[in-house]
Amino acid sequence: MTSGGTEGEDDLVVRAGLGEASAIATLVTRKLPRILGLARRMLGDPAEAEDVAQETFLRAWKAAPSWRPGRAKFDTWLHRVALNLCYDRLRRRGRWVQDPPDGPDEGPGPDRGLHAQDVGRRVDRALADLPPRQREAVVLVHFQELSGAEASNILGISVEALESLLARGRRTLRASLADIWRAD
Amino acid sequence: MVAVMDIEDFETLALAWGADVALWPAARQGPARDLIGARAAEAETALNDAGRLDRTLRAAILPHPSLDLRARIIAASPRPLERFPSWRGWFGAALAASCAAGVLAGFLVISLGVFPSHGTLSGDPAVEAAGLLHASSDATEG
Repeated sequence: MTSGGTEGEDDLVVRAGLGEASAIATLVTRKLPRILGLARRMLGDPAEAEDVAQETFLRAWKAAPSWRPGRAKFDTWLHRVALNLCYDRLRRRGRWVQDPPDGPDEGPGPDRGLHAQDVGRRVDRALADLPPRQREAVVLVHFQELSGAEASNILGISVEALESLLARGRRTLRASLADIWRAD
Repeated sequence: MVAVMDIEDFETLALAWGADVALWPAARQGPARDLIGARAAEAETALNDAGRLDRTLRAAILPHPSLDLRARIIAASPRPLERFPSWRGWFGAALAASCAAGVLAGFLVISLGVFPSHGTLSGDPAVEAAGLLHASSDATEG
């Protein structure tokens, strides 16, 4: 799995740390959608996800001037920062699982087709219902497209433990989204 | 020793990592391909099921960052001025502190009258001999 446009990334980060506008714009273009997606899927709340994305980049800008190329992968570092910010917010809520913001799930319904947006909403809801560690694993590997090694590094677990989380998480998703994937 | 994979292991791996064997952990790929060769029909069923779940998950909504969020993030990014080495900042701060201390000391000297007068030191033969006191006193009185 790829982690998206990592070639020359160290150089970009160093240049961003020097205040070079084009490097800053490129990093934001490459990374913001990924980090926003991660936060959105972890928190289930668009406004909070934006706050986390913004805070993640503030920390990146702070770290960029002293960034040492080759010491760590920027994408992995950014994911870890974002994930930790998500943990903080989830802890403050006092619970890990957030109800999706768009109201009760009506399911596909017998007389209406599933449009892409409906499918998206169903997937978001199913993800939000997963136990947190399973959700993190699925989000990092299947949505953020990180490799097993990268995801297990971020989560601080072995690849085997990650595999177990993934299998359990996707088994639950497979059951809760059965009407969709079976119709594929 | 060659790791042997059975169909149950294969199904679990397909469930966990998805339908693309090339994206599975490297150590699992060889045994998985062996199993696909040996039990093609069952392996294909497992991969097809995993692939359909993969496609369903990919249909999830990907949030697009708003222009406002992007602008806020870029506005907070490092500025070229911030490139100055930190010693310049420290040097500037030290210089400013020295100047402030000098001004304060001068103010105290003037306002509290801590310059020595003739009377207080006139008994000191060393000072009298040097003539410093008279010179200073003349300068201030003149």
